[in-house]
Amino acid sequence: MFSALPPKQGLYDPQFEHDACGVGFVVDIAGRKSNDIIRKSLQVLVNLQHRGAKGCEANTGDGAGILLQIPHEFLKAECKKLRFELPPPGNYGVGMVCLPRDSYTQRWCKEIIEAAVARAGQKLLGWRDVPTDNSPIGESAKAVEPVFKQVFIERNPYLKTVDDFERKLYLIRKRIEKTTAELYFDSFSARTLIYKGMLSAEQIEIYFPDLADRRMVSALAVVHQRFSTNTFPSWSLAHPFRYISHNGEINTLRGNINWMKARETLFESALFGDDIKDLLPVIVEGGSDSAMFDNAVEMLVMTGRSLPHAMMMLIPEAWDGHETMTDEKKAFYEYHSCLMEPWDGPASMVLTDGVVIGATLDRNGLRPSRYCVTKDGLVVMASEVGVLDIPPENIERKGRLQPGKMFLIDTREGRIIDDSELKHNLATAKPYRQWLNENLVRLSDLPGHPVPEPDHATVLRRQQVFGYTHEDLRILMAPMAKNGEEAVGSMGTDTPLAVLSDRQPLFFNYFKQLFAQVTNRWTRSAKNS
Amino acid sequence: MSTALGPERNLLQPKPESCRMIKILSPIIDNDDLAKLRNISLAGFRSVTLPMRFKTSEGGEGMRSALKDLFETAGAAIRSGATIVILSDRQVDNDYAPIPSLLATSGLHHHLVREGLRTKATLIVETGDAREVHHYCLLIGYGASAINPYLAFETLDDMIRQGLLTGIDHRKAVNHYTKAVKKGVLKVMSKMGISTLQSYRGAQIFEAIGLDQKFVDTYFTNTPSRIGGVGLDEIAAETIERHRRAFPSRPMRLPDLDWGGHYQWRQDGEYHMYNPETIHKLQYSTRTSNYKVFKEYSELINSASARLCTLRGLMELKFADNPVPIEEVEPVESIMKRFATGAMSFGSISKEAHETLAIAMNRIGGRSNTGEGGEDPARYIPDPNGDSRCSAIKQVASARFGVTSQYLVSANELQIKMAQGAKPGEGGQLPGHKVDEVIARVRYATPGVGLISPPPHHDIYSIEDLAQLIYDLKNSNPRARISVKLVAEVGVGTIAAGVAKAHSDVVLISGDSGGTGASPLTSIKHAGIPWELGLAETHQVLVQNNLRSRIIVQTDGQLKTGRDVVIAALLGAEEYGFATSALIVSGCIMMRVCHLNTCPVGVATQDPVLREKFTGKPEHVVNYFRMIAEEVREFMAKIGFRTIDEMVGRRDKLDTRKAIDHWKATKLDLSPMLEMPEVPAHVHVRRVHQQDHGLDKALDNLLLELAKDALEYKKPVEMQLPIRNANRTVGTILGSEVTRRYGAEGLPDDSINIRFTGSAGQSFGAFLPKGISLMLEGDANDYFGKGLSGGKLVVFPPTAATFKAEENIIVGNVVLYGATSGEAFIRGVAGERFAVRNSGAIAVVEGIGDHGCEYMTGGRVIVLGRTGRNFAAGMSGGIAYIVDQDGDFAERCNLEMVDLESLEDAQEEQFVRDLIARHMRLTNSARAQHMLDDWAQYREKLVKIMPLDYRRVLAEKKVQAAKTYVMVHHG
Repeated sequence: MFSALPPKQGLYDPQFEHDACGVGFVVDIAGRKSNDIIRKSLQVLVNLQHRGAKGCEANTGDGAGILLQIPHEFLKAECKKLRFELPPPGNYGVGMVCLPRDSYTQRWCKEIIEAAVARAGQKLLGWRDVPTDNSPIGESAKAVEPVFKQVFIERNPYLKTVDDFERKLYLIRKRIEKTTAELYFDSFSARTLIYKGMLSAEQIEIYFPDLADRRMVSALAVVHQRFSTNTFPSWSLAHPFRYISHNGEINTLRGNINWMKARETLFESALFGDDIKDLLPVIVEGGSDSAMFDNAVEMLVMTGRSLPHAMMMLIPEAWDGHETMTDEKKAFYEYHSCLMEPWDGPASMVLTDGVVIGATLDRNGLRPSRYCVTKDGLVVMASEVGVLDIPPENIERKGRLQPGKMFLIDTREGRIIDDSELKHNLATAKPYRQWLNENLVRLSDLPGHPVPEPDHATVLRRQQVFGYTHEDLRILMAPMAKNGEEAVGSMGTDTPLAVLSDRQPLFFNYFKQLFAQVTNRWTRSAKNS
Repeated sequence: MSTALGPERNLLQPKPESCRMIKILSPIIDNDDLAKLRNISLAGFRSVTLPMRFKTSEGGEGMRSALKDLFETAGAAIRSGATIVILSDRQVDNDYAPIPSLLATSGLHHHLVREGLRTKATLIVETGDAREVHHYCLLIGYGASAINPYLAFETLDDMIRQGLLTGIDHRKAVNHYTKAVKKGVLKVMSKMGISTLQSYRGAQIFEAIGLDQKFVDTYFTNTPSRIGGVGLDEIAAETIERHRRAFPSRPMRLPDLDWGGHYQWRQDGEYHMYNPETIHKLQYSTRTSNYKVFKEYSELINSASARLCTLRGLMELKFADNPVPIEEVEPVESIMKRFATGAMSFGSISKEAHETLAIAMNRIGGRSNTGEGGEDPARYIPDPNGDSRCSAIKQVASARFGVTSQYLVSANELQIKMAQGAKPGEGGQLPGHKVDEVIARVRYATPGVGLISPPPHHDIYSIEDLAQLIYDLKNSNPRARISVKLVAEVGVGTIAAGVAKAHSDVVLISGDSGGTGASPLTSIKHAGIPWELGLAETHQVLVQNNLRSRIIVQTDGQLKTGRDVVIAALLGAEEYGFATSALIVSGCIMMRVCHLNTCPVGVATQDPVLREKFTGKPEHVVNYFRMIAEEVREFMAKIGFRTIDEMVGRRDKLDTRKAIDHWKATKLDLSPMLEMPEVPAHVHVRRVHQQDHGLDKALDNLLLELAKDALEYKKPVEMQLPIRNANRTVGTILGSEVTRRYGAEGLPDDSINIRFTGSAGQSFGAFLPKGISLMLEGDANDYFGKGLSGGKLVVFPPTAATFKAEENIIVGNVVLYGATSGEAFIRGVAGERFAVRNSGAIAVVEGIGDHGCEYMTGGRVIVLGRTGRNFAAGMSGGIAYIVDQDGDFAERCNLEMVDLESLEDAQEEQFVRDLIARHMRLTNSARAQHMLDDWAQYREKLVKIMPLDYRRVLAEKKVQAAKTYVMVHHG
């Protein structure tokens, strides 16, 4: 929805769309909220603009957005104008909803939301029309432009903590998503609020006058500028997503989706009880790789893991055979490798739940992430350095995210938690090594059993059955057996495709390997897995 | 490649027993390991073996119901507690044939996903059909955790008995074979950017060609299959046919194995389009300029094509009722300007062959391609007879061999090779015996030392990185057009759209079948798809996105005749590339031994004796292209086109073959290839606009103005300017101007001296030539000094900064990638992949991230602080010096190709010390100062990283020099 992405047609299949970009955040380590943080982050966005792209129209960007903490005072004042009162922060959640322009469907969508909120035992306080000015944006983006509304939900006091409330909001949202695909929640949280769309960096503030309002404050802000491989505007695929913003690509996506789906039947969570079935499927298909990654993160966080813990499962470091990694960390990764497979590919992933904010990098460090800590307590991180002018004398230190490493700022604790402390804490939270020792069995430790004897009399016949040729023996297999390497040839191939061959090609030959033309990595890696 | 087998538990509530699994070290398991798993009696595990076979007498129906039974039985077994499902085709006999293991595995995998049972059990495949790397990739990619290729193992044993494999025992043969498979699978994974087997399993990163959509939806859910094709019945029929051969109905002696003939032409083997007859006719006709024989050649090829070798063979041209008079059709001369020859490096083919193609293409106004091996500057000067041996297209590939400022400036097209048809997604290797003096000079390498092209461009891991390289190259030569070469696969159109948005002027869609380079057999046969599909998709997606108007589309991949060109045009290409055919015209006889250096006709060899046998002439190549163009004209007249421009993308003039009388091909549906998106009339379907590269906004325009005196009168100039991250590729246009005027020599050192303050954008000082010095007070982003070509770069923190420079990052990732000469002094820490593919620059830096000096072949790198992991991987030349402060550097160094030594002598020590002293003077480095003050202590900590190959060659040279000395003085 809110997308002109065409369906599969001709030889085109939207599942092969890619995107990439520039990403950044600004945070006050001590959690002091200010309008300055928002101003600064929008400046970062403008200075990352060249990493994004524009479509066939000069005024249609590929998408830009910003994630903030809920700007309570601002919203309170705005809601007051609308004659409803917001309770203190933490006691309400805000949904940033994209609704269809057509008033009939729009009303219908609102009713669905209202019903879902009521069903979950929460109170809907009111709706606010988010002001927008679409004068700067291009025609193609306008053609699929949604109406933005904010919906305010009061937390029922029986929900003891904000986390409980976040889970309830998640449940409400998932139920709505399952009922209709006509609307989209940019965000729906008691902690964070997202403004995003088919915009370029300098359009965002004009399009959303809220962002220019000096009463808006936040202690952290994430910004993102997108570059996609098409010109079909898609409002919902702009970043940030609810927990992550991504620069990079997930190359194993299809497998990850399948495995997640396969796993769902085993899902049980004391935190959700019977409601768990309403959360499935976890992955909303048809999103971008980043959107689907966000779905997975969200599920892991909502069912009780911390955000960094979820990230360590989805984007683990290269632990197998690592020369210097601590055993506790190896045990953590090995244990979790029994739970799920990595989402693999080049990635710089910014993560935040509105309290902690940070970033993690893929195991090979294939995307840039530079940060700067200032003496007056800010951290600025982005795909590039120099996106914000900071006087040199105010710089405490400058760093970069390293392969597989995470970097986190906890605004509640008011400090930076570095990779080793963070992972040490997570890795020692449970006796993972002991669990592995007690449960994980090595094949080599299992008792042996008799094996069938080779039957030379029938080898030829069986080779015939399976379509062996002399070439298989001489050209393919002999060099492998001799040198431990696949044979090399040259001058390409000019034989028929399997489907055009009359010589009973093997079934395998009907398939061609795909390869990543812009995101592959080298083979000569360190001794990692 | 270890992985764990067994059932998964609830992901959301982890328990100790969540890791109750069996760890295996390799996905290829031998018979012993399989027996262990089959007979397992361990709490939490139970295995079941299910047969993959069907009754041949029941045909396709039998296979269908056998699969259904298999799925149901497996489901029931898992429901009742089985955690390991072994699929086996050992039980085949006179009545039963094996179900193809891939079909059974993937079908079951998807069935179990749908049933919600998949994670409760592991799939293991015991099969007789897996033998090639591709087979294992498919089985894993569609869900298998482990594979036991019992028949492959038995075959090895049998080969030893028959004397086909000698000097090796069975156990060793099996080990080697398994190792080769694992390496191959890893390579395929890495082509997709995947690093763990666990993530590759079930990722189904394949495209089916020629399989029925419904069939794919059932057994290979979500796998693209775009032109339909055969289904279960035909697959069963083929299986039964193989079975019939093995179990003949009348008792007779079992026939010997088929030859195969996929890799090399055989009279009784698989059909090849280029066979002795077609090769002869092509060579004869082009040598004698005999159009009649040429027509015989194209008749043979076109009819072979129609006889089901190619997709284009299945298409028909729609001729007009009233043809255009041939005189009115665009002349041969203008058509030939659209022709290019393929990228074949000097190194893979001989000097003679390479220059023949260049001269021929320059004569006809087409374009020849350097390939990725650089180009001898001698070729930039025209020959006395007016011929030019300068290749119009200069390729920029992952290794960046010989990519100097001069190389770039002398191109009229710069082609970024993202992939190559023969081995998409892979790098290459030029063995040491092919690296002679000349090749080494052109590639900035050491003679006799093998050269590795890394698989990826280290400066491209994402589409915006590609956009940056396009911008860099445009800056390096604003007059050249930029082209990006992609290989056809599903989704290539989408990438092409990204390429168009990244402001490339040309996109080349290469087919899978081309490629002259040496590649693993798996890649040659199983990666990539025919250009017809890739081109058709690209044109559709570009038009749909209204991007077609700003980019030229070129295609290549075994184009052989005028008809091929016409079909390429109708499917949407404006320009056409030829490689194999051009080589054949130059004398190649398809011996397919390019990788062995034994080419008997002097085309693909560096052996001076064999090169003598080269008989190709530019005239032959010119004749070939004239005749192709003439043929194109004849078709144009018949279809009713006067110009190629009119013809581009006119799919309505193509018809899918009305009368395909082939039992399998009739199932194909080529109409998706001919579909055109509905777009408004103003959307163009060929290139009509130039890309806006945005060079007018570059900071370099100002630099050019300020450096006027130096450029015009060689008068030294100095300037000071602020800079920020949005100023990208600073210094590169300026550098191109210096090189254009003063060639490889450049200007005297420091002629243009610019001091910047601030944070520099990406690619600061890219391809900077000699004579320009850039001093940066501040910091810089990725690709600092990319392709440095003689210039000098200095960077240091602002004077007002209080942080310790040596502990803080100052420049980004991929610094000095592909540098060929020049110097860089960096006061601070650099990111990942420092000086990768450096072949001549000198650098001093105070700390670096992972993968430093990877694939380096020349130059000197001094690191005054800590390095990351995997230092010196694949490094075959140049020398690095590391200050090993904590004595643990060896742990982080990849010792496969290098040795750690201490400094050789006082001369070497002086060299290092002088450089550190210069670093201190230029950057005011506290770290350098400290080291120099306490030199006695630090010299002990210096570790020298010496490539083994490089040392050997240097030693040989020394001996050689000594001998010469002796001869001179005693002779």
